[in-house]
Amino acid sequence: MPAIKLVGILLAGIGTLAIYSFLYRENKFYRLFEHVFIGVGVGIGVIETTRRFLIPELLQPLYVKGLAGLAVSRVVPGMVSPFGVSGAFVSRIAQDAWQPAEFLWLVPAVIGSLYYTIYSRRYNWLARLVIGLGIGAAGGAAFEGIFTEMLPQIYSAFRPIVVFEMKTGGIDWGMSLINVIMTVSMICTMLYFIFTIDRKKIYLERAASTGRLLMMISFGAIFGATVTARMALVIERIQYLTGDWAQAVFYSFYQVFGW
Amino acid sequence: MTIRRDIGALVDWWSRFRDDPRAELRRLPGALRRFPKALLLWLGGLDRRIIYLLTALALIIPLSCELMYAPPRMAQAEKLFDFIEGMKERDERSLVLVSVDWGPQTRSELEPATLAVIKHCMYSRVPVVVMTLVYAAQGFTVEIPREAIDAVEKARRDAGLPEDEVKVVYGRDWINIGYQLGSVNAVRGIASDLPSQVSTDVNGTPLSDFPIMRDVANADDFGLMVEITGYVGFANMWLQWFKKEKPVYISLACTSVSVPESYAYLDSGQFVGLLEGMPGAAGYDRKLEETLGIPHAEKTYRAMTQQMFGQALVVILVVLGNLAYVVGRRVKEAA
Amino acid sequence: MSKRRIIAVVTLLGGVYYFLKFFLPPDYGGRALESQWANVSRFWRVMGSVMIGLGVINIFRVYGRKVVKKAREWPESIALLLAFMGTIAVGLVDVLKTVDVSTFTGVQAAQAAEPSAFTSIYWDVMFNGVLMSFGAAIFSLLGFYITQAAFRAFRVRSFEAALIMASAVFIMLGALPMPVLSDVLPEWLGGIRTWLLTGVNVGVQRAVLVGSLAAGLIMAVRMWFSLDRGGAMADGGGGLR
Repeated sequence: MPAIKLVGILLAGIGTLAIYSFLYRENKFYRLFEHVFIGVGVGIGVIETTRRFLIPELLQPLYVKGLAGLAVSRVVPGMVSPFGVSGAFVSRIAQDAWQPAEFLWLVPAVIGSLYYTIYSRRYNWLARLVIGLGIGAAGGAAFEGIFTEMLPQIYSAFRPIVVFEMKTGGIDWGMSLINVIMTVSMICTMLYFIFTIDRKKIYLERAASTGRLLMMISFGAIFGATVTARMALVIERIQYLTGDWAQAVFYSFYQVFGW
Repeated sequence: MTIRRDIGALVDWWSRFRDDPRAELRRLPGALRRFPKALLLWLGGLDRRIIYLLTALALIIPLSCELMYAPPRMAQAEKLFDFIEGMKERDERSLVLVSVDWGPQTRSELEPATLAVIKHCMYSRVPVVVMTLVYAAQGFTVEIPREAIDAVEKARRDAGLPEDEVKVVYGRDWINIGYQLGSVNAVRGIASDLPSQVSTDVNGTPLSDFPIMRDVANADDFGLMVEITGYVGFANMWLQWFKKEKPVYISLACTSVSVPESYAYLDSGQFVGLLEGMPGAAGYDRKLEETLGIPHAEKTYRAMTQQMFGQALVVILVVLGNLAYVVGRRVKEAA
Repeated sequence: MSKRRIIAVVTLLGGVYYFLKFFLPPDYGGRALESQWANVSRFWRVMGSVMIGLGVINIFRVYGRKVVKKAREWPESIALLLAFMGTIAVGLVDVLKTVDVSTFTGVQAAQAAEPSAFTSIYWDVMFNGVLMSFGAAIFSLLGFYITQAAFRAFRVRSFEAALIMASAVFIMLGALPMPVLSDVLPEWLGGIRTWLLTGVNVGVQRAVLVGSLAAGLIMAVRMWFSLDRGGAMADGGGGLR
């Protein structure tokens, strides 16, 4: 096992135990590892943004097709480079050298940079332009997104109350029952949330309170599902501690002490 | 500290018993009669740390006893299984896109699901494209297919296939296009014009070099999209944005928490199948083993057995908690 | 034009592309707009990527201040800053390793091989060792809390609570392995789970879903046209007039 991997696994196990010590009581050990987690997390966020966004989307095109491309196109327009040592470098740049349109990408970069005015008392309204642009985009995009997602929900809400079997032509009682229940629970739940109609009529009130009960069944399903999900989280950690981590601990003991 | 108080009471009783054992024995029948009520009252004031300890024990004991039971069949997971099995016969589009959109928080539930789906595609020779929208999952897009390949090749070897049919070939049977940045933008980019959104695979090799990606232009060229996610809104994002001209079949593997909500989409046909968290993945694994002979992932089966003990503890605790509450209230009212 | 109005106009402009792309028929501009998707999405990515400095500035502002003022948890804050700077240093080394310096492109040399697992201090220690594991550990505390909550807080005091409990038990049991009980329990008991989820649950969830999506649409319109006072218009002493 490579030493780096081993260090990673050992650290992971110790950190997990430190974080679990919080279950006994709040302590320094826990706080230390929690803070390290935040620090590393933000650091990785910055590094990944640089690696995946900043370099390939902005810096690289600006440099290769913009600045360097300009230089190359001035000296050897469209040619393979005659420049000895840096030949390979220049020829690779020259292939798509000098695309001045790439400089246009400085526009969104400048707009994005306006967000830094948030630290200024006087100019921080400029940061709101950036926020506004984002909100506007989300608002405009919501139409397509919501319609695509909502329409199938709406038309699948219209169900045949009586379902016939394809083969025999008889009534499929099971399916019909499910459809009835589904329709009733949907209507009742909607009624429970509609406050703009007069609920004085007793049947509306009854339907709304039935909706409430039906919602409880659905909430129960969510609760049961949540228990499964939360248990799964602990199970993963326990399997890790008793599997990979325990192995790594024994392995390092073996390496260090020979037993 | 309730623990200290309880231990103190136990020590007191022991010293009384040593002084006069007979008197204590005479008190025994009465004490036994009062015991259930006293126990419940004691439970009502139980320290939270004891409950944490019980939880840990309930999950560690089945693991240390090496217990492993077969999970139940899951109907919705089998729907996805049948869909993938039927892909080859149904139409010419048999490319599957698997998006591994989960991080460390939901690894326990979604790693088995990812593994099961990729294993199935590889075994049934349905070409699969693996990607992720989450930078935290970059490592998984490499490790999980590796694990799947090992399992698939072993299963094929065990089935007695000739060696040239055993191998899962990168670039023909599967490809990893890695991390795609920009969530909604990436999804729509892949859907409308894949080559302009993704030019290389995860290693930087041009996509046109791989037979699997030739003639793949947009969402219409995918026969199925499997979204595996634990993040809120990711499944909706694929539903909303992953389409070109024809409707694309989408399936979801989610954490247990989002199962109730996902059923609405399953019912409307927006999802063709659903892997319901860890149970769904385990059910899928079982189906794979029963129909195709791919050995199940031991980790998943063990985890389901641990689930069984853990959830039994939760149910028991709810019942005990309620009994303790009722007894406690009665005692308070009597006082 | 007042600042407020400028912001409203910019907000409106932000959504025009998406709105038109959806509503214009393909032959009357819809397709042309769709073909610009790659550029529009790159616009957002470039805009977002230059903001990473905010994270760096904020982390030094919040935790650096704690260290300087020796406020509560200042030793931990030092650890946090060290971890942060360490990750940046190690990560930059990793980035430079994978970036082809000669053309400054963010990809490695071409090789048509199966991808191998990443190995470096950045991936093994920072990424898998700390980010993945600590994250999973912190979230898994919830697993302990839910048993505690089940014991302490789940009181069946009313018919509604009993319904929640009954439904939860069926959902849980229906998805669990039943090693011994499978012979004892009737077949239909497991089916109740599916029945609850596909019948009542779908109806309720759909009602909630359609309601929330409709509300989402209305919210989107209000935000887009700056009809709400929230969002970009929220006035936190930002000098808006």
